[in-house]
Amino acid sequence: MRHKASPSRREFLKTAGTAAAAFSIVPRHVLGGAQFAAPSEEITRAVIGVGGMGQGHLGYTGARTVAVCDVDQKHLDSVLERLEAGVTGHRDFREVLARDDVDVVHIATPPHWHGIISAEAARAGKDIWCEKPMTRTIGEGRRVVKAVQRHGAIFRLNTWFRFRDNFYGFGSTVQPIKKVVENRLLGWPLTVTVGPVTGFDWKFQWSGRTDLVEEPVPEELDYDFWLGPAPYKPYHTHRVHGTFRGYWDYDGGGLGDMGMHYLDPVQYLLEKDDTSPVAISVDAPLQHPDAASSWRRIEMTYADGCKIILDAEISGDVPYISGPEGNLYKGMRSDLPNFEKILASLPEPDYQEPDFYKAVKERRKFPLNEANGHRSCTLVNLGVIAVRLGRDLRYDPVREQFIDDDAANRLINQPMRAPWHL
Amino acid sequence: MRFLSAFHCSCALIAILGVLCVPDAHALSLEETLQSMPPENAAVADEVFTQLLNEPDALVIALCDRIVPPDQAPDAAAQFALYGLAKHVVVPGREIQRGRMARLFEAALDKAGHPDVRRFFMAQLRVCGDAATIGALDKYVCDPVLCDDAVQSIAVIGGLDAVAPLFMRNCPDAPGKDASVQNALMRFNSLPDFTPEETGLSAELLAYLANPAAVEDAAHVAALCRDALAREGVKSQYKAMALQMLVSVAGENALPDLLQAAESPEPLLCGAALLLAHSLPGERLSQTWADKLPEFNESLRPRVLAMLGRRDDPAAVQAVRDALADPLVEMRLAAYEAVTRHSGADMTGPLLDALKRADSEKEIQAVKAALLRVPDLEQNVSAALNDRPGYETDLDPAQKTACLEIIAERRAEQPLFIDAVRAFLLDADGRVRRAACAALGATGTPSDFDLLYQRLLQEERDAEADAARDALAALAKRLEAEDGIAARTGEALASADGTSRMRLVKLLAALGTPAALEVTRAAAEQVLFSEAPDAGYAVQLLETLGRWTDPEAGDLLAGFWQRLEEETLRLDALKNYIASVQRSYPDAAKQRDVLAPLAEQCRTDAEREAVNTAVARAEKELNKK
Repeated sequence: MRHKASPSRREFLKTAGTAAAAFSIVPRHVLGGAQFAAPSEEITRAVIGVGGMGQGHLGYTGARTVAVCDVDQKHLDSVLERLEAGVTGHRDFREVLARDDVDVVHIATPPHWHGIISAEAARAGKDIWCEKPMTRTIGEGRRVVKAVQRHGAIFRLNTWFRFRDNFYGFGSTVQPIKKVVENRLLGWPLTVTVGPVTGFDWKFQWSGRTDLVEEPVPEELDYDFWLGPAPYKPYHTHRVHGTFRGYWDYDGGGLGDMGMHYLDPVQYLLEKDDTSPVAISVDAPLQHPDAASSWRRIEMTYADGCKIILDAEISGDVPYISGPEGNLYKGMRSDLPNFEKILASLPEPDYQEPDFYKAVKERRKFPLNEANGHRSCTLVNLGVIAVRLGRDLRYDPVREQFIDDDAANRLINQPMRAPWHL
Repeated sequence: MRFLSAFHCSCALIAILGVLCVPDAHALSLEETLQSMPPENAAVADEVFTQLLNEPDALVIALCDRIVPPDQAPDAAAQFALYGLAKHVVVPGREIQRGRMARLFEAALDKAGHPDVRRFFMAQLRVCGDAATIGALDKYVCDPVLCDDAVQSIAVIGGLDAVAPLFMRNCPDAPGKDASVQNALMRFNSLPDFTPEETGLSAELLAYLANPAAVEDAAHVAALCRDALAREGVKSQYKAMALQMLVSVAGENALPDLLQAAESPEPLLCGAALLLAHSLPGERLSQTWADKLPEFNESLRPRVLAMLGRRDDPAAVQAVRDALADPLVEMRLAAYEAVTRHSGADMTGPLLDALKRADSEKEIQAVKAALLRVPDLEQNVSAALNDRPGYETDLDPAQKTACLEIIAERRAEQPLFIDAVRAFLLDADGRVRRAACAALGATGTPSDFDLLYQRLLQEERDAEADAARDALAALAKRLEAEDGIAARTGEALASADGTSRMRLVKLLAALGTPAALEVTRAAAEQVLFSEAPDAGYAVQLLETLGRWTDPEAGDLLAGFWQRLEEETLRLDALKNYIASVQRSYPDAAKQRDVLAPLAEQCRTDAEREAVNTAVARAEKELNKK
């Protein structure tokens, strides 16, 4: 047997501390022993976070809900009243992950919890359906990708426009746009403009307030647990539940809320699922340290010259996608001659399976998974960092670090309140 | 001499007084600073903060003094200013200013009494703190309330080297200190801490998993991984970790292990094996997987094929092609999904054959989707059909419908396809005829209007007639012939009755153009004001106008209502006018403004009730907001 080398300081420090809590988990389909889990076997799920978006998850067909979890007792009670008998309620997500009768966890908490719960769920042998944004920071996203891939979990984000549904105010699904781009009808590189003028509202109503005075914590809410890894800030109603999006500690304002919906399809269209922009520029007022607010324009440029422009103020008949050979406008209009006929003659893009529970049964990567989801979430987080710092940035998409910018890099891995870590 | 001296003294005195009295043009006051927050953009921010930093420390200290405990109304402007300063000084080239701001924030941290105020300054130090800040934060490591904040801040500013020594500190008043330090250290590891007890994996393997760069003897580590995979009681998610390590150290030599794991009864491990298969590319490996396909069970086989479908070597591509004719439908479905990824024109014939063999709607749709992914489809289908004479003759209705849907989607205008569409227009199956109408709407020529009119008027069921109607409207729009079709429909309307008349009116609505509206108006005028109005037809015309999206249709209905005498028709006209207003004006206030004045013109209680109900509904919408 090979003699193990003396541990490095890093290894020593790693093992010197307390071991993380061990979970006694035996996934349901392993308990089945030699019985192979047939594809027709029912999938069970737990929904963590049932205040707002989580209630929508309870309605998704294809799996049976066996547990719900929330740190607000009122939310929990209200949901349990409406669900069938046999569904149990929990205040602590770790109890949910420890259950051997849960196959899939739906994570519908505020974003500052997404990374921790996703990674722990993967570690517990669960598959994961996570709300967007995937993670609040780029660093958390990288860790989730590692955890999911290490444990063979099937992961999806709760955004879907790259493979179904009408794409907000654009007036079409993404598939015909993909045909246009994939076949280089507009040339290359391309510039995509995302804003009200092309059919996308940046929802600045999700701005935070700068006048919060401490309020008593409601009895039904475990505020310390709600905060979790986020820095301690005194309680105020506007920080939690329906309005948490307005605070940097938990989300990223309208950009955090809608960014992945709008930008993930753009990443797919521009064939950038495995990379990130190299330059980010911003036009915004100075931001508050706590409360998110509006911005005017964010531009992200990839190494090959493709550009994504997030614009809140531009007006006029601006193309959604602009290229050296032509433009594509809202409503699938183009200035290319015989556009409709040419479009009809193009082959359809590669198939994308839209059924997550089918992917779980077949153990297949979902079209929007942890890897490409992390990249589209990175677009959101790059924008958030640029807005918060109020200046242009340069980014290395391979090392996933900012270039020569210590302050920006400090926002990639942000501290977490003990005992939470990722 | 004395005079000159006195004069010089006076001048000097005046000069001195002048210096004392004239204000410094560049001084920035606290009030001005606060009023300038937040700056509108980066350029203005840069100017403001540069100016601010030219002022004595007293100004920044005054700003810091405005940060209050959370039970008081916060001074947002001061918060903006201090955060803005912290960000301003961390730009390269401002190291001196950065040091200055760090010292000021440290002083403010010490001066503050309330822990939440201290947290604010720690947050600013996390932005601009430097090496000296570590010392300033050190005194808070043992603070019972601020321990965790201090440790996390030290970690952000000083990294691993700054945090590690904190383990040695004795903090009797802060029993959570060690947990905070441990937590901070976790940030510097890319993986959470695994233990042998939790995972069932050996400590040695866990160490290599945590630090793959330490692997020197790949064979030894591979043996550790194989041991873990064979061990009873190791959960599948941890076996997946071992399998991943095995593939990374053993490369192609891990193929037998992947094959074995793929056949595991544990779905997670099986799935992990198939995902990991992608990290071992190459034709030889693809051939091994393909050769083993017949041995895998029915559930696993399609999943292996799906994995092969994402590989691009010839063996994988051939395995997918062979699966197009597999007796297992799940294999065929997996093949349809994958086959066009690396294949093009040469797949057209096999896919057409597959369409003909498909015996379920699911399979037909899957083949159709695959055909739509073939480039230059029309050309390739034409060529393939040359080798398949009479292909279309024994397709079942579902298969015919799929072909028609493809033609519609592709707008395949070649004679071969349009001839087929025209032939299917007379098919015995209604579903096929509906699909043929849709296809003709997308691909037809002016000569096809007659065919579609025939279908519109001769179809027994409304479903097929509606399809013909929609196709007529679509074809008219595509060929820019809407006005001509409107006129033709008007002529036909004059001599039509019963069902035909109803269908022609619906066609006018489907066209929706000003010309179609005029034809409808003329028809309505004639019916409503004839001596013995056909009530059923009149109502149909009024309802059609009520659903028209053009606001002019609403104006017509208002006019009819005002001119009509017969009570029932008046009420119908009014109700449809109301519906038109509700459709034309999404804004409830506008609806109310248009509808409310109608009450005065109502002649009967029924009319007044209709108006009042609509106005009340608009009011209710407004009150919701």
